[in-house]
Amino acid sequence: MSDGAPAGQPLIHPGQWNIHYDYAVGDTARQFFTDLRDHARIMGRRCPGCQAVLVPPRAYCERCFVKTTDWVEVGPLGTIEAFTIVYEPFDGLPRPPYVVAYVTLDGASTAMANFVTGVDLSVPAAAAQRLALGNRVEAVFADPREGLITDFHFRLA
Amino acid sequence: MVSQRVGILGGAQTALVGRRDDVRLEELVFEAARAALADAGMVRDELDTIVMAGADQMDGRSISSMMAACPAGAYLKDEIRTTVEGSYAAVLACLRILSGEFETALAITWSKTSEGPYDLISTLSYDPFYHRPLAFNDVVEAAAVASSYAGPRGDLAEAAPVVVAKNRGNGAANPRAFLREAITPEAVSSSRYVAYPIRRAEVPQACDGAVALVLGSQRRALRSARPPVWIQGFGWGTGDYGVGAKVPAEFGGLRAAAAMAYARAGIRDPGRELDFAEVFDGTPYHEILAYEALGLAAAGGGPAFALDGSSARGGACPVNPSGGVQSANLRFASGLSRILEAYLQLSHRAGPVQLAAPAQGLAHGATTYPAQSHAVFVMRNS
Repeated sequence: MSDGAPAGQPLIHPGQWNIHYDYAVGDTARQFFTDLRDHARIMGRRCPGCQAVLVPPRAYCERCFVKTTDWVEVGPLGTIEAFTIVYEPFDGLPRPPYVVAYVTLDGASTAMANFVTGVDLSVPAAAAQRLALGNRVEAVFADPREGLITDFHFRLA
Repeated sequence: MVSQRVGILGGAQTALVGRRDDVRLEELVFEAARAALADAGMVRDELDTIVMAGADQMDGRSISSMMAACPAGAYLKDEIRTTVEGSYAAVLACLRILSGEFETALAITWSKTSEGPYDLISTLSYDPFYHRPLAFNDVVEAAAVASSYAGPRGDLAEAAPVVVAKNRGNGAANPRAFLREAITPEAVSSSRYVAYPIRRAEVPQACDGAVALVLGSQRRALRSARPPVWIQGFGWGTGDYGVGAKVPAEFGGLRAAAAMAYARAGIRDPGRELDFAEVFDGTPYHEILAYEALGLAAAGGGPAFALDGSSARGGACPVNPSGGVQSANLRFASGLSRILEAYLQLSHRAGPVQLAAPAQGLAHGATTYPAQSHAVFVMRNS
């Protein structure tokens, strides 16, 4: 393949990116994270067009393409829409096993992701049955809270 | 309906290997571009525009097309790069030809993700506020999405290993594939879960490589060195990002892309009118859902379409006769490889994996595992 170059060991030069960002959360998500931190409640935004309650909140409805308006409290109970049980380790992710699920909180129109705790994960099929689509979960709030998405997680209701 | 068709004049793919240490990224690009031009019997002077698809974070270089453009043939020529999956290089190249401004185009994409920590890099795609702190990456998201499909499809977990075994069996015969060993459904279903319901043997090892196609206007294609293959219709579509939807992704983007491609190509009954399909099968769940989204199987009928052999070689509509992504996981670039494999089938140049006499086929590309954006091509050889 390397025409004209003598055979030899590959030469590898290392490279590294270590870049810090300061992401602006925006006013809409700021309100969401403030409510989560200070009042342990999960708030969504209602679209004035289709009336969908978007959770996590967005400043706009991408389908109706209008600004969202009112705040609506949702949950803390909800329904599992999708889940996975992570069994293998990945770079930059927590030590397995753990569960992440998409849950539609009561009163919301969209699903929101978070960790699910309190399920015995040692037998995958049995764990999957407990996490089956349609099963009910409840949001549990951390104490103290930092205004981050990890201020709450789900457990089976 | 497109009044003018775009023709494929030639194409090539570099050998796919786990890691290419003998070439740097630009040299890999050059290798594919030269080979595609040679296949089309053309020289660089005959190219009007160069269309690239690549993603900086995977290439480990920002604005990676800065260095890739000229080895792709773009020196002092029109060139443009999209950071959507490889199949979008073909979408954009077709559009540029149909604009009437360009007679010929080289569509090219590449993948050399052996050089970086891909799983970690894939976490960068996630929303930094709501998703990234929650341990998502490509495989974790794909697994969650797969679980949401399983609800109305009780036979999905049974069909997934059959799809992997089918594609790896096809790939074992394909000299252009990377993974060339067949695997049994039993071996797939006894491999460990990576992220339930996805098993280790359902996530193919990635490879390095580059793919290029030479495209031309109808007028130019009619005087090409080889008999052209015609793009009868193409379409593309983007669904919800996970955060906005109830179910993370029901392949809405693929349904939109297929509807657009079928309308342009005049396809009414894809299951009957398509002789084969090359689809994104990063996991078997993607392929099974594609059967439904492409209209090859009825809604909810995806698993049965695999289990009854409809998608196998010799079935009603063979899917991934090349071995698919399961046998050649060119991350973020595999869609153009699917188009190349469909082109080779329709040119009767697919070698040991050649189907008997295909006249019309489909190729599909998707934006890796969460599969938000999709492109679909309907191709004919007459």
